[in-house]
Amino acid sequence: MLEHIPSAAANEVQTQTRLRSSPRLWLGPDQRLWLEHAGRTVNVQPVRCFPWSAPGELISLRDAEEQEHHLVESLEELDPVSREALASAMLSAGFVLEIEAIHGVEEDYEVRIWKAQTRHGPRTFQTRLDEWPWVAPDGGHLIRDLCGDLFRLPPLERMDPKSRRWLWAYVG
Amino acid sequence: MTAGSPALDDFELIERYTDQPSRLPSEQRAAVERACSEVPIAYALVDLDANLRLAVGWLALTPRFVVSLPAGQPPIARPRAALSACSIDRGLSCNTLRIEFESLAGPVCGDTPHPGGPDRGKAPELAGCPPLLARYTQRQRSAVEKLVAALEGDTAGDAPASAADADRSYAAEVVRPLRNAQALVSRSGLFIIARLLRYLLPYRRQLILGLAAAALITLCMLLPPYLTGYLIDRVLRPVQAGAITSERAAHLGWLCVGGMTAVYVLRRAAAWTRLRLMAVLGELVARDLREELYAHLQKLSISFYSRKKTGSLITRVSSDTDRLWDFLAFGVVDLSLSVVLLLGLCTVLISLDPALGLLMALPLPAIVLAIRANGKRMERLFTRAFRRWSNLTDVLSDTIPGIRVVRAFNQHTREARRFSDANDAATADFNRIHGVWTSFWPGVMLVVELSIVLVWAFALPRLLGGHFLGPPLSIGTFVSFLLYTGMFMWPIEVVGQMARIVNRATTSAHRVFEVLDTRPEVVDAPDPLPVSGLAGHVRFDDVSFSYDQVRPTLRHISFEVRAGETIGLVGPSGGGKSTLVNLLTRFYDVSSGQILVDGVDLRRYDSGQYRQHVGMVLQDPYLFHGSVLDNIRYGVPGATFAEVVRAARVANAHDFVCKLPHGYDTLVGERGHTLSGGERQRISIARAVLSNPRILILDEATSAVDTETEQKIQEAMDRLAQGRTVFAIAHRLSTLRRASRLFVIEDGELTECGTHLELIQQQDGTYRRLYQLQQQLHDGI
Repeated sequence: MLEHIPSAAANEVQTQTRLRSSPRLWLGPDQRLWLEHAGRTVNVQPVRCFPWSAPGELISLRDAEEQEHHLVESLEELDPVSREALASAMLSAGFVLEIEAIHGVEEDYEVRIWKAQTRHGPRTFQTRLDEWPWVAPDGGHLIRDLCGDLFRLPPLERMDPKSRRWLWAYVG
Repeated sequence: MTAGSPALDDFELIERYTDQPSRLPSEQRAAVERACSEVPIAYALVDLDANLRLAVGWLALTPRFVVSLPAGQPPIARPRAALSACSIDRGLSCNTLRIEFESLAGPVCGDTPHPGGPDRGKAPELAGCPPLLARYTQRQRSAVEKLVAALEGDTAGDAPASAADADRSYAAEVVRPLRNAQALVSRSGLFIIARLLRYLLPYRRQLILGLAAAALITLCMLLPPYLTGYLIDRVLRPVQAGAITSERAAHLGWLCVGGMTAVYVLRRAAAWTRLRLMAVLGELVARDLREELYAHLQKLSISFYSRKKTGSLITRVSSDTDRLWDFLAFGVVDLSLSVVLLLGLCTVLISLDPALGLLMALPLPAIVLAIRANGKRMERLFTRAFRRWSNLTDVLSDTIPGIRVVRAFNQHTREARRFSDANDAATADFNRIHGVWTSFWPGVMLVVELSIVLVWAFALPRLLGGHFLGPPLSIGTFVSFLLYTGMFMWPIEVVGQMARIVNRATTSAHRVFEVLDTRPEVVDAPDPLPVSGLAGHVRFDDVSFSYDQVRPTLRHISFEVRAGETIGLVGPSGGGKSTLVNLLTRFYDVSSGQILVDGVDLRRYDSGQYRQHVGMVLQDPYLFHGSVLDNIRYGVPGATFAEVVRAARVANAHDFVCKLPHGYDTLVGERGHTLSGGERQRISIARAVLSNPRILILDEATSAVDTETEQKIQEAMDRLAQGRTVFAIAHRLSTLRRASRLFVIEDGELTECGTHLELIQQQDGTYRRLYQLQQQLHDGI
């Protein structure tokens, strides 16, 4: 359709067409994410399809009934305001506790106790003895504690020597 | 848990395992009271702030207010009367609760502490209030959601009513995941060891004899070196020096040799007595524990089995009691013997020669500490190696059952590589372990041997008549000394491993005692009514139920079923159908309301006798290892062969059983896996027929079989249902056409009730929609 139009203009037309058909997102005063798309406005929650492999791509926008209203293939397809709103909503939806240092790992009756410094503050948590950290696609590791909270360990080489020593038996 | 119990309570568990407060701090409690002049009756920690940093904020409920206490900010109180909605956005580790309020007259938003004076306790006026937002991690989820349930007035369980209740409720929710994962933790390891040792009391005679034998062994170990020294100094050297006659020397020498023989024989006899007595004693204690444990398991509620993994419970009855046998039979005696032997050796060595004795004794604490440190190091190495081993077995359990998929997608080379990588990694770690222990123990031995060399070095001048660090030393004393030093290694090793031995035993004891200390949740009344016969009239009277006392599974269910009626239970999965029949069988007690059977509250009946009148045919019938005969008469062990055959005929099972190679005596194998699903189902129907229940529960009994088998099972069930009150759950609605009435259970509520024809005529009814969907599917086929 666009082969007769000079390439720069064609790009502009493509961008405009894409933006016109792309959804509009914004955060309400109650921090809820709202989606306006195809003439409908609905409150949605973002769900990353690939939370670790491709966190910024393929984000499913779903309502309270788990119905998908739009799949954002890339943040680039959104206008800046929508992009910012979505990024902000994803912060809490995709929040995991990011470990910066390990201060101790001890075993107690049937549980392993981890004392960690996270980016969000200090945290002591427990895992089952047979629950091991698993490798995340970015080279770090993920640990799920007994309560279901997820903790993310950066790649070992980015951690201090003491933390590496604590983690030696559990990671790598 | 009772007060004064040695097990940690919920508050102590929070303090031991988390870094969050175990109760609402007094300042926050006072702030709530200042804000709304009421005491908090429920609260939860809100541990993430607006910037998603870990924080200590609180959300509290008073009888009339919701109070938010963000970290470092003044409280925000809102009247519960103005609440319009609660919603929760769930994330990976951050949940966001929004509590919205209706706008009320006036400009005040209630975001300031409520004033005192005459208006104390009055609802602040609201106008266009922003919602209260609370962000929290999964650890707080249960406590927050219980709060929300109370806020919405939808608590199926006990809503906290006082400040003390609020504390207990908060603590219980926070530690729930820990409680589910872990055995009850005792305040002190000594409590648990003391409790374990109490199991030895019935066998105290054997225990005393065993300990006496152990003491005798120690004594016998100490005597031969002494006699050897005596023989050298008092017999051999004097006779060589001509100080005594050879006759006298021979007499004394043979006395020593005879004494030594007697000591060795005595030692072996004591060792035999000790091993025999303690091994048998340990076995008896383990048997007592196993019996007590298994009998107690039989009494526990179904909810306990939902919380604990089957494998873990089997381990407790088998491996844990076996480990305790090991500890009681050998660990207790070995540990005490080793300590006594070490102290005895040090005393003897120092008394033989203080300087040389100290030389040998001083490195001992260092060696014990080194063995302990090595034990810890080995634990880390083993943890890593077991993790690698677990990776290896993961590959196996992935690919062996899925071998057809591996082949079909031609991925065997990749899978072989994956296994090889895991295998190499595990081997490397096990080799590392071998590297450590093979160098540690020779190292320890070298230290001990160097100590002996040092003893030689210090002793030699004195053996030659010098006075270096003491008077001249006799050869006999020195030989005794050397023989004693050779006895050091065994007790050192045991004492070095003491912490590990005690830890293993206390862990097992915790796991065993946790089961023994768990009280059944479904308990009969003190004077239960005997159940001799039932008509089968069932009434649910405003019944609500929640498994976790937070999220209601059934809400305000009321209905009445006449004896002999067949009720079809339909509705979406997870709607509460199975819960309803679980309540009817009294696997659980209702959270509120009551279930009346023949006009009597179910909780008044003797539950064992009542269940004899309730039969169940489940989707996945469970057959025990044994013959077809054993399985059919499981509920009525005294049934005659003729009765068994009659029941099998009713269940359409007789024909296929006759085709089995050993008829009714055919062993069905573990869980009945030698039979097809339909055959197992018909045996379970025969079992139900034989027990002749007045109330019958059919839970998806035909869902897992082919159409022809389904027809046979359906016929069997129709015969079985005659004259009984039947509750039948089925997704295939066509199987429920003969039901007297149908109940539609959705989201925990009874939404529709009537005959097939009545329900099919309801225009927007769920049953009509489900029925039409199934019809379309059927027609499409």
